[in-house]
Amino acid sequence: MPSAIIELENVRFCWQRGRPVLDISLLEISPGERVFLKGPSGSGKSSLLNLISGIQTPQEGSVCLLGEELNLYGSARRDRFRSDHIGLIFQQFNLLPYLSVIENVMLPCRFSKARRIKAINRYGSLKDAAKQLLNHLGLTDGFLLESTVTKLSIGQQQRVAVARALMGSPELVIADEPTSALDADARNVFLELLISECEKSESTLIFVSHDSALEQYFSRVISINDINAVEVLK
Amino acid sequence: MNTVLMLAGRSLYNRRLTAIMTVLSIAVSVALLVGVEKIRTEAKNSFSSTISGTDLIVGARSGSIQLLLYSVFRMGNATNNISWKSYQDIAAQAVVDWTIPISLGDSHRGYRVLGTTADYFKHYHYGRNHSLKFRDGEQFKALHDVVLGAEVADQLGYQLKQKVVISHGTGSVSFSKHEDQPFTVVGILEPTGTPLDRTLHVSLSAIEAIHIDWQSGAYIPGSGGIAPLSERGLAPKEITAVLVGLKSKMATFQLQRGINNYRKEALQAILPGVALQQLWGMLSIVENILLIVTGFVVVTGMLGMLTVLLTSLNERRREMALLRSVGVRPWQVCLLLVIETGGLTLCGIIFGMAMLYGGLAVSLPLIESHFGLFLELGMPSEYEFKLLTIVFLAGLLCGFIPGYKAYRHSVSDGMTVRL
Repeated sequence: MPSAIIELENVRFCWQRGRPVLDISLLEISPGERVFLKGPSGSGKSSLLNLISGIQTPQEGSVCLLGEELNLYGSARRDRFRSDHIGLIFQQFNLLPYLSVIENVMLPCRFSKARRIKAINRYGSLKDAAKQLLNHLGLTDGFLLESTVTKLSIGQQQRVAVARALMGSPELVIADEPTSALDADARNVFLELLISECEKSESTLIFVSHDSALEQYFSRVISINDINAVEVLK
Repeated sequence: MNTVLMLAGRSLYNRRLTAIMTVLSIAVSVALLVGVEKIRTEAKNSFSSTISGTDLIVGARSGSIQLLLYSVFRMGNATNNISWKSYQDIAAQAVVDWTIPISLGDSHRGYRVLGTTADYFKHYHYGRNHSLKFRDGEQFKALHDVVLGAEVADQLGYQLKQKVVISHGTGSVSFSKHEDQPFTVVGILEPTGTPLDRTLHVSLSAIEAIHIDWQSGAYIPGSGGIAPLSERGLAPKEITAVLVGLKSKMATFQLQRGINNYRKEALQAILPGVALQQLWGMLSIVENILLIVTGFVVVTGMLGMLTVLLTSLNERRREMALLRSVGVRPWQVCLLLVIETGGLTLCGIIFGMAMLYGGLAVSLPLIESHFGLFLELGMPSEYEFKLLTIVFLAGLLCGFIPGYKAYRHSVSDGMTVRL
């Protein structure tokens, strides 16, 4: 059993040759941590997320998730790893407009057998799993859940995105500024729900934001400037 | 894979208006392509089956296509006639089974008048060896009897027993008419889809009779003598051409050579099949241009589809990134778009064929009566299937352009979409 769920060592990454954006000597995140990752735009947050989620691989160094060295895997294996172990929440437009709310939530389980099995083991069926999760997140209207996502408010859409990320209890949930489109009240409700649901499914949470007011909800705060040796020129 | 198919379907359904328009434009182009191809082959069939069973056509020496045009298609005029004596020589050959002498030069309101013998109705064949059939009445017996082609009767509204006056020459408006000798309609033929439908048939003697008082193209009453018609011989002195049927096909070339080398008169014998092929060869340029133009219509349809997909691609970058985040592989993103174009093209083909067959079913009687084309509503031919397959493959191939672009996007965008 690895002690850290995420372990980055001597990672160097650049989009273009000769212009590094990330240079991280060590980053360790333990299972169950609620990490708040902050940093100004252009500081390499997105690149770091791309590395952790296995979309990109570093030119140097190792990226270990759950004890597996992603930088040694081919892109197909990394894609499979991501769909099995990581739930993602974006800033906005998280949902496919042509699927119903429930179908959107069930989507990760269509591509990941591991998560499908987990969800079924826990809730009996995929549909029940999706409904339970949505209920926990305060979306109980059965009619709404069967209709298309365009009928939902932005706050509701973000909660559906949380349900999708947590579907099948992935080990890691990455949320990339999910509250930026929400007002203050909705933001607080959203955060509390997100954190309590992550705790229930025992998922590690990485939450990216530049809104320092949210730090209080998290067990650990990482500033990208503190771990990244590359000074990004403005 | 199933999920990708489902996603492609749902995504398309979500954009159903543009999808339907795309399908429609492909459908129209496919209908046009296959329609033109169908008419092209049918026109060719109908054209080459204008005359059948005839082994040789004999006329005055000119060009083979010209002889074919005036003797079979009633187009243009003969450069010269052939004498009755030569005709009798040919008819007397041992290898000859039957002959149909024809005499052209007069008309009735734009329709050609053909002088011939009763053998015409017995031996003339068209299409896949169809013989002539009478819709009404029977063949000519009396001197001033006329048998009408189907179109003549339909267009001019002629009935049996009606009187018809024949004009001298072949113009549609003629000032010199054989008014002194009106004809009586005794028979109307079934439609054949050949120039025969636009012809009036009379006996060779009748042609002689109406020209008795004509000298050098002018009507001079009394100049031909005053004996009553019933007492004259009325044996033709000249005819325009002869259709010849042989007892054995083996003798065809031998007789052809014999006729071409005939000492007493400059004659020419042609094989109708060969001349038809030559004539169609000349028309095939038009035919090919038509096919090329419809080919471009299909290309336009494809380009329309590509445009729609490429424009929508930017809006859908988010969708692609989302799919990536839940584990869709970049090639699956590409596949998604290929499935879309493939599906659109397939729908277009199916809908286009439905449109074409529906349209043909409705317009078939019209095409038949107006153009004399007999289209059959059978299964698409092998060549048409080939065309459709090419269209489908082109559609699939088109999908790789937005597919590749989406693939590039999904690799470079990763989780973060920069719009």
